[in-house]
Amino acid sequence: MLQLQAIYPTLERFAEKVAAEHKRLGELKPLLERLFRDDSLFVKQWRDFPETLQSTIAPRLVESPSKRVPCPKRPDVFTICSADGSQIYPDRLLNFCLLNFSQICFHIGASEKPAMNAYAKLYDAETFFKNYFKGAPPKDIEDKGSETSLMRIANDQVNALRQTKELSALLHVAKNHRVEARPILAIADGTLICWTLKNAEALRKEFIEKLAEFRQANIPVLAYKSLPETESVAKAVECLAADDLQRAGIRPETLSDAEIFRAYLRKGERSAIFQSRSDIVEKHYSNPDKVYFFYLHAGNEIARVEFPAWCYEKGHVDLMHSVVMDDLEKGKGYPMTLMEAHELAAVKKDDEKRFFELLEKQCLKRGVRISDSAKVASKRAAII
Amino acid sequence: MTPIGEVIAANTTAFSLVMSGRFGDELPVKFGSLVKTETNGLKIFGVVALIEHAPTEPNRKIAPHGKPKDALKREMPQVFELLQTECRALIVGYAHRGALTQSFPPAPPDLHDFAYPTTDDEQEAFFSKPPAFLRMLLNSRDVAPDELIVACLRNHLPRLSRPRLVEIGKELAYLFGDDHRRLESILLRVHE
Repeated sequence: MLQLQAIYPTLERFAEKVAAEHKRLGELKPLLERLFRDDSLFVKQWRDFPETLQSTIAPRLVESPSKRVPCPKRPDVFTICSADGSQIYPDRLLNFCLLNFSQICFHIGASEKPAMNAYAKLYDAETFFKNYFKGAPPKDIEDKGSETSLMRIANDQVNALRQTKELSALLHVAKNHRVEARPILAIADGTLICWTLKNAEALRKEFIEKLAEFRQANIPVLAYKSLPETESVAKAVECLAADDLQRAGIRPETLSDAEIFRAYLRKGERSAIFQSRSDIVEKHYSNPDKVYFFYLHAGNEIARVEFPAWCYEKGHVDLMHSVVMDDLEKGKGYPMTLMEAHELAAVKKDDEKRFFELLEKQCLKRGVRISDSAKVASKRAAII
Repeated sequence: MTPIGEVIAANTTAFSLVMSGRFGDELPVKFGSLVKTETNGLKIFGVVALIEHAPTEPNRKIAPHGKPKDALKREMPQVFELLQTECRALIVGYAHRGALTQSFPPAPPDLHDFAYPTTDDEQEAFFSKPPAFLRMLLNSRDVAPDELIVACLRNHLPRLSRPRLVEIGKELAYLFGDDHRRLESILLRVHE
């Protein structure tokens, strides 16, 4: 039980600090407007990038950073698809994982029925390692002839598999439900940069292949990141205008992209488009699939919208901007389509409980009791 | 015959259905309709005592969207996919090997059985029996029994000849004792 009385005085001091920080950020807008001007030294240096810019995560400029684009008109009729996944992680005694995926397709402004499906997949250690993590080192267990069934599945590996399979599910639903001559947009949750796949070569390859398939099928795809913690644009500002920030009372090293664009954009506006310089993108993504992004003032928050370069080249940015804003309004601050995909994919506590009950029954039939496993024990209610 | 819904909860006194078809379609039954299920040759009759629109997922909340229904269907097509109509029927009798009785069945309808509207012949057979079902409706605690009796009699008026209506009136008079106003309130509304 949280003892609020005990932290009350600290909480007050903390609130004062937050308020002071917030006020300092008020100085950011005029500063950014000055820095982002097309003829400023700041923009010139950024454009001359990467020779002058020290940071390795600051993005390349695709458009002038001064750009603030109001929300364009949305097409009357379009198709929007989404997919999401959730999981039951392995535990000490049960070496498997379960992934549950949703696939959503809404035909907005049209009369076709929406598609809302979910499917689950169970992976035992053997299948898991054989198919996705060949050569992964065995962990926390003695290696008996490097049998894959003896390796422990790690949570990070489950996340990596889920990220790749989510993109496959999205591609599949978009391909299957597209209507000829009607705009279509596929929305993924999170990011198109496969950070989690750094050490999973097979999955990374599959992820990048799926991304390329969106291009081949001409299906614009984007990833929507709510409450991004990224600092890439902030790094450029820090590198090129640290003195200006300090003069305005802002600590350059604490600045985030969300703070920059909360100050710079108005509701519904998108920022300029930038190109990610993430290692994994630079090394492994083909040029048309390099990750571009913009920030969007979604009303209650600043969101990051990532998409492959080809979507920009083919002029799909207005479609993305308008459709995401429309979806945000319908979802009251979070994209409706992503929310539905999440609802359908989420393995809820009750689902997990039912799954383990079923597994327990099946094991009992075979003469094995698993009710003492950590997983089952963790489900017990606390006793007095 | 097209089913009206699928049984999702049942005991020997009542059963609940999720209605077939898309949410927003015309409902296949009304409050007070006589409906049936059939399990292994046992027909179970119920009177629809509650119809309710609800989300398919109990944890989802319905929120207003400020759009006319047609626009809502076009712009947020999933909204109507996530809603369903449920109904609860009070059991008022069963038929086994052709013999119909107005009492509780030996076993409840099976879960996931379909429920159907009753045919004219089944209604004829049901209402030609002495109206013991009225006591069963009056005994149920979680419905408004007078309203349910009015709706049930009004829905099946074509099956109720004058002598049958008199018999029903007499039974209600007996069940209500001295409460003449209550009896009057029901009888007046049956013919309104």
